[in-house]
Amino acid sequence: MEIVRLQTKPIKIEDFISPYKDHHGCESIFTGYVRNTNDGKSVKYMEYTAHKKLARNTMITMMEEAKEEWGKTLDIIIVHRLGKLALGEISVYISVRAPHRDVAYSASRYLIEELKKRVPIWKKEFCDDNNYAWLDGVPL
Amino acid sequence: MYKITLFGKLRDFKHQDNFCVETDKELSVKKLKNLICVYLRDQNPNNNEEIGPIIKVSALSDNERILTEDEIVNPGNISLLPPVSGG
Repeated sequence: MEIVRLQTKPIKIEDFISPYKDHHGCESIFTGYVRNTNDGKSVKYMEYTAHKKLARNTMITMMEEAKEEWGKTLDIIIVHRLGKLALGEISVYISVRAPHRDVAYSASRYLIEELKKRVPIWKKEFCDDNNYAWLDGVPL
Repeated sequence: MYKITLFGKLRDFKHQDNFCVETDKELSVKKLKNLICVYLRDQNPNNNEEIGPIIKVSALSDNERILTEDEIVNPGNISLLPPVSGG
């Protein structure tokens, strides 16, 4: 199974549960959440925006790179939330199913690190006083 | 003519998400970024000091891929992408 998705509706992990294939011995799941502080400031909520077409294409390229490096039989899901997110909501979900855990961990780590460096998504953080700040990012 | 769409923090510098840059020449990425910088500085006299540094680290895209600094940009729809912060 391969899923690459940007969505404004909440990410529900149960939406991505599917039957295991015989050759998959494990699944590594990375889930990012909106937390209540950043750099010592209280966070009220977060807003994510994206260049949707480029973001989706980049995520597909990353998925293909992971399969090239760690095996064509990997099942990969990458989902990123857009829009306004409350504290505790899931911002990003990455699942890698693989024959062995070392491959699953490595591919999962690769995907989240690359996503943070290469995918055109921007995070705007709203504080308790209703001020906001764009988070410092990584130049493309 | 280039129709420029802004993303992320760059949207703070313009009330609409996009605007047009009229020119009779095809420009390199570097020159188009300079022109955008001048335009946004004119529009935002109060944020003048912020605009230059963020445009310098922003990338131009033809909405298919990221363009390299010395590339010539074909007229049309172009996106200006500041540093990314997903995840």
